Order: sequence, then C-alpha cells, then structure tokens
Amino acid sequence: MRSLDSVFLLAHAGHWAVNMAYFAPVIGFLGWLGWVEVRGRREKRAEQREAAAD
Amino acid sequence: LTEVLWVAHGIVGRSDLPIPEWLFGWAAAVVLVVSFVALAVLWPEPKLSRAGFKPLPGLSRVLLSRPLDLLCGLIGVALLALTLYAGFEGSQTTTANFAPTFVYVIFWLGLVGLSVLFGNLYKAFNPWRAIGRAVSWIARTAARTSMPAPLAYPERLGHWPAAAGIFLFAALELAVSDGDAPRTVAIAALVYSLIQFVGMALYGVEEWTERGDGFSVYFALFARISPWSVRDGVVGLRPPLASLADFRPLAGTVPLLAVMIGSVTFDGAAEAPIWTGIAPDISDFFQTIGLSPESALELTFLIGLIAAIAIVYGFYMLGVRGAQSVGGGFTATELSRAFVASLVPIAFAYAAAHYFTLLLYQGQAILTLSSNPFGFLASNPLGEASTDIFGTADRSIDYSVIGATSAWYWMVGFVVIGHVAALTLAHDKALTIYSDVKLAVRSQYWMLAVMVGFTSLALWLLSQTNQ
Repeated sequence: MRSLDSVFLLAHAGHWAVNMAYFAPVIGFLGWLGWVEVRGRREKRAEQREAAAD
Repeated sequence: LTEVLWVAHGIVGRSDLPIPEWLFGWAAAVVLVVSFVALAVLWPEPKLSRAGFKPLPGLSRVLLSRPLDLLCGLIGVALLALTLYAGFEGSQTTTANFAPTFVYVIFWLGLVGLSVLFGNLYKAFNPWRAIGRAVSWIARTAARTSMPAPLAYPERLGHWPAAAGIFLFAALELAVSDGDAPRTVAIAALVYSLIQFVGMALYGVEEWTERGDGFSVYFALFARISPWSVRDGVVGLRPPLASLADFRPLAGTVPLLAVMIGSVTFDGAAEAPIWTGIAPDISDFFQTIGLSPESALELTFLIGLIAAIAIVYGFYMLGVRGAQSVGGGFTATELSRAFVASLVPIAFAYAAAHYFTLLLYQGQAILTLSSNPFGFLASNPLGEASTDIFGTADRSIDYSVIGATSAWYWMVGFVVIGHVAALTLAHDKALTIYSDVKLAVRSQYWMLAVMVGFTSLALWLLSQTNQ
C-alpha cells in the first residue's frame, strides 16, 4: 500500500505542485523573516558579549 | 439556489489568461512587498488617524432629517415583514421565493458593497433598531414619565454577541442542509429578531445595536472603509480608511473579524478538492457513531467552518506574536487589537472577490422576485407568475453581464487593493503606537507576512472554484 501511495502522490504531483505554487511567496517570506530573526538575535548576542568584555 | 450559487461562485472557462493563475499570486505578493517598501520610505508619520473631517452641513440636514430617518426605518421594517411572510407563506422553492435571495444575496452581499461606497446606510434601514426606537418612544409617551435606564453594557461582552450572530448566520448558510429553504430563512430571521429585542430591552437600543447586533457591527465595520462619516450629528468626508484608523476594538473584535474572513474562506475551500476529498470520510465517521447522514454532513461542514475560522485567527495571531517579538513592550492582546482594523479591508477583499459574480448574477433575480415575491404560479398551462407587480416577473438572469476573464481580473483587483489597504492601515497604526519608527517598520515585517499569506489564500480559494 505504501508504494501505491507513492504512485498516487507522484501521479497527482501536477495538482499539489500547482496548489503549493500559490503559497510559495508565503513560504519564501516566512523563511526570510526567520533568517532576519536569527540574524537579529545573533547580532544582539554579539553586542551583549562585546559589552560584557568592555 | 444551491445550484445557482455553485455556478455563480465558480466562473468556468478562464482559459484565455495570459499567465497561469498561480502567477497572479506571485504578482500580488510583489505588489505587497513594493507597497511595504514605499510605505516605509514615503510614509514616516501617521496620517490616517490624524486625517481631518470635512463637515457637509447642507447634506446633513437632508440625510439625518427625522422624516428620512423614519422613512428608511419603515422600509427596513417592511422588507423584514416581507421576508418573514414570503418565507412562511410563499412557495417553498428556494429560487422562486423572495426571502432566500434577498437575505443571502442582496442583504448579506449587496449591503457590503454599498457600505464601502456610501458609509453606514444600514443604520438607517436596520429594522430591529427602527422597531426598538418606535417601541421605546411609545413606551415613553404612554408612561409620561422617564423610563428606567437600561443596564450598563458589560465591557467583557464587547463584540462577542456580534461575533456569535455572524457565526450562526454563516453556519446557517454553509452548514445547515436546508439553510436556503424559505421557511428556514424566515425562522432564522424571527429568532434573530427576538434576540435583538431582548438585547435592546436589556442594554438600550443604540448600545446593543452598536455592539451586540451582528449585522449592525458587520456593516458598520465595512462602512469605516468609506470616506463618508458622521461626527457629532453631522455628515462629512474623510480620506477612505481614516475611520478605521480611529476604530476602537472591543473584547471579541478579533474573533469577529476571524469569523468574517474564515466563513468566506470555508465557503471557497468547501468547493476545493482538499475539502471534497476529506468531507465524506469525516461524515462517514459521524454516521458510524449513530448520526443520520444529513446530521453527519451538517456536523462535518460545521467543523470545517470552525476550522477555517481557527486557521484565520491562528495565522493573524502568529503575525501578532511575531510583531511582539520585535519589542516595544506590548502584550499580544494589545497588539492584536491595535492591528485588527487592518483585517477589515481584507474581509472586504475576501467577500468582494468570492461573491462578486454571485452578486452580479443572482442579484438580478431580485428584479424577478420583487414582482412575484411569494413565488406562486398561476393555474394556467403556461405556469406564469401569479403576480407581476413591476412587470418583471418573467425576467431571466443575464449571465453575459460579465465574462469569465474580466471577472477574474476584478476578483484579483479586489484582493490586491484590499490587502494594500490593510498594509497601509497597519503601517499607519504601527507609527501611532510605536515610539521608534524603526521598531514600527520591523513590526510590520510580520504584518506583511500576514497580508501575503491572506493574499495567497484568497487567490488559491478563487482558483479552486475553477477545478
């Protein structure tokens, strides 16, 4: 059954890939936001370390 | 009506679009990002909440005059009475009866557009407010003494009764199997009327109407998009959206907006393969635990509706949590209320885009139904309408009023303009509440994510009607 599921998944790729295409900007944007968030936290930690060293 | 709704929701045959439909989603996201950058650069101070008000005293004297107020109230009461009578006594064929088309198309959809264009018209035509005011006046006159003051409206109740009212109406439309039957519509209108009278008796006509009456709150929110406004009893003009920037949310306002957007979302998603694929399985499960097929299907659709509302609410709160993480010392509740007005243009975009063709097509049926509101046919072999008040009883719907491709562009236009308006409102509000412009702009990264998410969802939902 598992192999049959894979076949269905591949056979219907055209449908779900098009559906996913609608949400690609959201996924891309959230990825970018996550990256900005992580970078901001790293910079904040670096600033705190520098302040502690001074 | 169900068959008509199905066709009118789903514009079939958009084969001549120059690019794939999903690419419109990408283009819309680009428009939002460009708008965001433009706002960050060109809009450094709050403008909407500080916008002025241009009074129009001459127009006020006419629009807010007692005779016109009375006439509008009477029209509202007459339409309610006609809806009730047609629903109970008229033909029980949905498309032949005035009540379902009037309630679900003209009232529920048509008034949204009119509110956005011309302001809070519904307040004048609200039949329950008109009856409440009339009863109050009669009681005061008969008693010849001042009436006991109504109870103070509890702060924690806020917009919760309105949210519940709109949710129940959406459930009637989308989950109840005979929700479009004339008798069901009439019973619902009667029950809603009784609730309004109890609410007004307890808390006062104006207080209840402005906070607890679901339809009043619903149309008043859309009316805040319009440039028309009433201040200190004078009609005037403000820039569009300015009245939303001043909006003071109450407890339950965020759930109300989630219901407004979530119900349209579910209406669209219910036609999508993702729902039509799983709904029978959920329904089968409920049948295995003893529910009848009809009840099982109704419960399935109710769960779908609640899930759609929860997703919309959850996605908005995700954006709020993100904005909170930027700093500024605000709680999630404070931020969720601060930015909730920006959901109103999104709710309009969803309603306008999703129901645009339904309003254009099925809206024409009101001309036919006005001539023969009870839907009775003469007992002759031709089966003609028994009454033809305005001579339009045999008029048919003109489906060529708009082409499929034009309709698609209109719908995409509604979605993009609605979300750019929402972004503008959120940006303006952020500049008002954050002391640091940099923090305000950073908080809007998250609101931009919310807007892009809602835009993508809206366009995906519209595309699903063409599957």
